[in-house]
Amino acid sequence: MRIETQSLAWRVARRTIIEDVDLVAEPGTVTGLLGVNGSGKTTLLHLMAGLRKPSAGSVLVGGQRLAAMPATERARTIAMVEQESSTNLDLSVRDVVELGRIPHRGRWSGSPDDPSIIEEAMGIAQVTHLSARRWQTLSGGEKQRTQLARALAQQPRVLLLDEPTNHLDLGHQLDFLTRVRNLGLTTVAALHDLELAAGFCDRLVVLDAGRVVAAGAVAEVLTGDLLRWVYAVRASVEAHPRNGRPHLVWDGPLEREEARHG
Amino acid sequence: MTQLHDRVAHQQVRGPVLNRSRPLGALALVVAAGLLVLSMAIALGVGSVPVPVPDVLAVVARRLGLGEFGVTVIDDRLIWQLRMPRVLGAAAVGAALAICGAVLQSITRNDLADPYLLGISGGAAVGAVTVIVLGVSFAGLAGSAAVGAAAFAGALAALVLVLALATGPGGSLPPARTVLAGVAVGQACAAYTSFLVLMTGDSHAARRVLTWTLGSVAGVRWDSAIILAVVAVAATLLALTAGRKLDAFAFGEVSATSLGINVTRLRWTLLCGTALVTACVVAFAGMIGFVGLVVPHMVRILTGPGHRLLLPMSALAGGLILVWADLLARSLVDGREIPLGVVTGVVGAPFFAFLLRRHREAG
Repeated sequence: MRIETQSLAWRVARRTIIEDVDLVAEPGTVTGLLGVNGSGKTTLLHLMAGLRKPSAGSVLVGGQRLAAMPATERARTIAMVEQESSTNLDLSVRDVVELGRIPHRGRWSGSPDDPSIIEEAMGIAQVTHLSARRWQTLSGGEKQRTQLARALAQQPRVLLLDEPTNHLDLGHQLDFLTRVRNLGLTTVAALHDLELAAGFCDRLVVLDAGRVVAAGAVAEVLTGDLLRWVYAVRASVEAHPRNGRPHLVWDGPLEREEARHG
Repeated sequence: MTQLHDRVAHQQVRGPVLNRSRPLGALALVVAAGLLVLSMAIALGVGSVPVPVPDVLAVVARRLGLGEFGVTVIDDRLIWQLRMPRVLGAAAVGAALAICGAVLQSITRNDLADPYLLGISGGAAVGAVTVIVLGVSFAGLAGSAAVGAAAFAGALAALVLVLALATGPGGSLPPARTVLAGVAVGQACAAYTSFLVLMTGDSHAARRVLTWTLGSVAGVRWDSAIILAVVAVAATLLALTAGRKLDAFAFGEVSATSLGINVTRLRWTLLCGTALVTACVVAFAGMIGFVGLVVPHMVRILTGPGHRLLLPMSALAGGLILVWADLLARSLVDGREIPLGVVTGVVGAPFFAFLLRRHREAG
């Protein structure tokens, strides 16, 4: 399902966090959301998930205005995996995954096909063997995969991920993103690691101070000029000799002023 | 290494007994309900004139229209007219307080939340103490009825004040601010009641105030017992419909929203609903501490945090515990009543200490 934002803005206490963002994620594609800390990636994802009300503009999901969608239907369409999640309750992995069925439950009971959906979601996220483990005993990567399974149990059409690979080592990062890519869902993921973004995303959108400064195919967006402007680093991007993917070669940091005007 | 492995394995199996299996959960509910009925039958038999449980059951069965049993007039009067309202009232009060505590702990994500959270205790005390100390009548009522009505009115006034202080932009009700507003209103109320008792009341009034503050179901008659029972059943049913929504709060409010829950609306409904239920309880039974705070924690050890089982189990366990607490309160010392709040405190405090230790070991 296609998700897009139109002139989206979010302001709080007269501060602008997101301004005039137009973003389109085509069905089945993976879009990477890049930008430095505080550039508005998380806020944009929250707006796209319907967790905050935009100050201006709108979010369209499958051509329908998100703001006009009932909350349960929204939760069956869009699932989000937060950067970090914590609970003080004594929940097992399966309990957490079952939370994803809440938008599908009736007032009194679950729907009959619940167990198979939950098991399938746990299988895809590879947490089946953790089923009875308590949440508090999981490693960062296991928690992240459990939350992915919970999101999949929502049977969403759109998946929003906020820095999903933050706490993972390289092997788990590649594993997690490969899994997400193979789902074939419309995915928008905020990412810090540019090489991972280059390797797994169809398109990249770059935010700077709440505005989109670049958007398009990976090779178009990821350039030396952009790295210099957004991340204040002197670097060049070269096609890797073996697989042709964009590959970063950096020389060092720049002063902010120098990066923008030098 | 082996130790580490053991630790992990131990943590894997640790967890609530009734968490996973649905038949086990249903069985536990049936057992708890059976225990509650049995306890009520035992409690009905105990008193200055002991009545054996079979005779108690005969009286109740005849009154419920299940047939004619050989029942003496004296037994009927003793069991049905005198003791039944009190025992039924105790069960209803315990159930209502426990379910309010369970709901409030989930919705505020605060382990210390109890039914008197939103200024209920302070406001109710202002009403009750005013009537007791100044001896004024309230709403055309006199005596303990006036105290109850004034406590109810005071609790509602305090609730309105707390909500007015806590409501944020867009009608949101942030839990931390709501709890703080409750504390602030509670302190102001406490200042007023202390002033009134110490400056104008005599020692008799002070004694009555203290007794009221510790709670009792001794004054519950049939009419109030029925109101309490209806309130307890309604509260349980309403809470059950909100059960799946409360599950969604496990990872906080953002996650609940993303699971399709209208957080602000749910919070308003449940905070106001539990406050009304608690105000009703306070009006008839005064303030009974520890039940609403401790019972949900006790039940959670057994059932796990899922609300489908936690809420009805809390109601049954709350009722069960208060029936026994009231039985102890009226039978431990011959001819005198121990305040109910003293009994629940004596039982509740050690259990709470046990919970703290358990938390520390788990964390």
